[in-house]
Amino acid sequence: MKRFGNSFLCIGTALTLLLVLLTLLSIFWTPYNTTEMNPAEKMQPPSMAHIMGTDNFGRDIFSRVLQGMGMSMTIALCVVAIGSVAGGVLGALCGYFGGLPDLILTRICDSITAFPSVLLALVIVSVVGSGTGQMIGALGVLFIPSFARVTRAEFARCRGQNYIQNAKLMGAGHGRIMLWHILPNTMQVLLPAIAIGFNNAILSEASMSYLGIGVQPPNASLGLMLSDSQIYLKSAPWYAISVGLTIVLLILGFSLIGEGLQQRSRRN
Amino acid sequence: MEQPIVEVRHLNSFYGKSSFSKRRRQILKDVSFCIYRGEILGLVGQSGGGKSTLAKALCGMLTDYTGEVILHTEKPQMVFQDPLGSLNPAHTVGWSLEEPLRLQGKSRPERQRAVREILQRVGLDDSLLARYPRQLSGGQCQRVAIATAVIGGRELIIADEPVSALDVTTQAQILRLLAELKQEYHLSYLFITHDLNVVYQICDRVLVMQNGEIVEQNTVEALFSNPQHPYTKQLLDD
Repeated sequence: MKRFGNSFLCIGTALTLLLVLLTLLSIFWTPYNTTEMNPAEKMQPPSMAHIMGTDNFGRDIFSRVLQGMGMSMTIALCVVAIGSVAGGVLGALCGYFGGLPDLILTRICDSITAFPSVLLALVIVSVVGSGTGQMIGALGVLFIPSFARVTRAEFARCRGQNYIQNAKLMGAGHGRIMLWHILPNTMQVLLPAIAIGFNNAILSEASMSYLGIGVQPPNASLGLMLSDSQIYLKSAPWYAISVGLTIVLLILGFSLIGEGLQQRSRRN
Repeated sequence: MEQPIVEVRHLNSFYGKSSFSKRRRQILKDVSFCIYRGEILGLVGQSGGGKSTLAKALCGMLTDYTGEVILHTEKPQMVFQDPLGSLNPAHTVGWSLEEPLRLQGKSRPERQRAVREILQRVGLDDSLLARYPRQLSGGQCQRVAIATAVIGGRELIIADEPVSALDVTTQAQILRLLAELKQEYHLSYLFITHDLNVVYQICDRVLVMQNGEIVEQNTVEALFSNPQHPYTKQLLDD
């Protein structure tokens, strides 16, 4: 069991690292231009020249997948950053101080989580308009409750511990106790939550772009490409398969990291 | 003569929702006592009898109470029953030991010197500094916890069942260590325990508590040779 947990973490990290490196590479270099159309080469099956084939405009799918992956990761990163920082701060304050604000915030979080997040994001986007920035904002806000809940539970658990009581008696202030005495203890729960949150963000982005309310063409994102590809599912199945597979690999990498981290913390 | 380090006068404390709620329960009932400088005051009584509440009171952590708690010193430090629980699991032993000094604004070399000194004093090796609490034995943890309590220069230490979770050999060592540290650092203890044997070994005076009331207080010799209250007699018979 012990080696199993570590292998989860190893494989997940290796997979994610590979995808991240490819994405970073795509910022500077892609095999082909990602927006230039080439009618002569449209709908070509995978070959040595185009390892994932070409799409209906003759664009190299591999190059666009790399770029789309970059877009999806950036969005997911922003969403998780908003959610974890805002949710973390709120959850920490509520868990540590408790009382009425805690009760109110917990109820609000519960009611937000009661809705499917993509549905709520749809509502927000329909109010503020569609686009990458709006989608990040909408998803970011919706990710706050899950992080707030995890952080709150951890801070509430640690608050009553003897070592925190002693830290108070030593004269440590609330800020110092939260940041230095409690936060390090919450990492083993928070880090897997962030990995899982990242996954959910990638999936949410893909679903929203798929629905046409996220990333707008000619930019590439995995969700958008998946939506484009489904028309050609019969004539060019490699299009949907290569995009879908990329999403699966991306999610798999982070799931394995999340699972590995959880197993590691369970052991400690 | 003897100077008190803590005076508690007519302390009543309550537990429950609010003052008009019927569920409000009185935990401490008109508790008055002193801890004198340099003494080890034992506090015995059954669980749920208000011992830990009294410890909280001395730490200034009670919210619903009447009466006075006067500290003639800085806030106390506590040593708890669960050795692992009084050390922060996310930090190394070295970090935890330095923390009281860090809060006093001591420089890094000063802190490290003090930590090495106290570590040696409580009988632990320097190599433990980089370890985490879960990598220590119960006795080692308790020594570190005691060192953390002493290093900040506080004069009053509340020890809440500090040896109950340890085996008999380690118990004796820890009790000896506490007594020695008391002499060297001019400490005073409130020593909470249910074990009269331990009281006999280490304490100067004893408070006997029953249902939130102090039913008897006396020197250890007098209490053991001539118990007055029926509850004390019952405790001694067990």
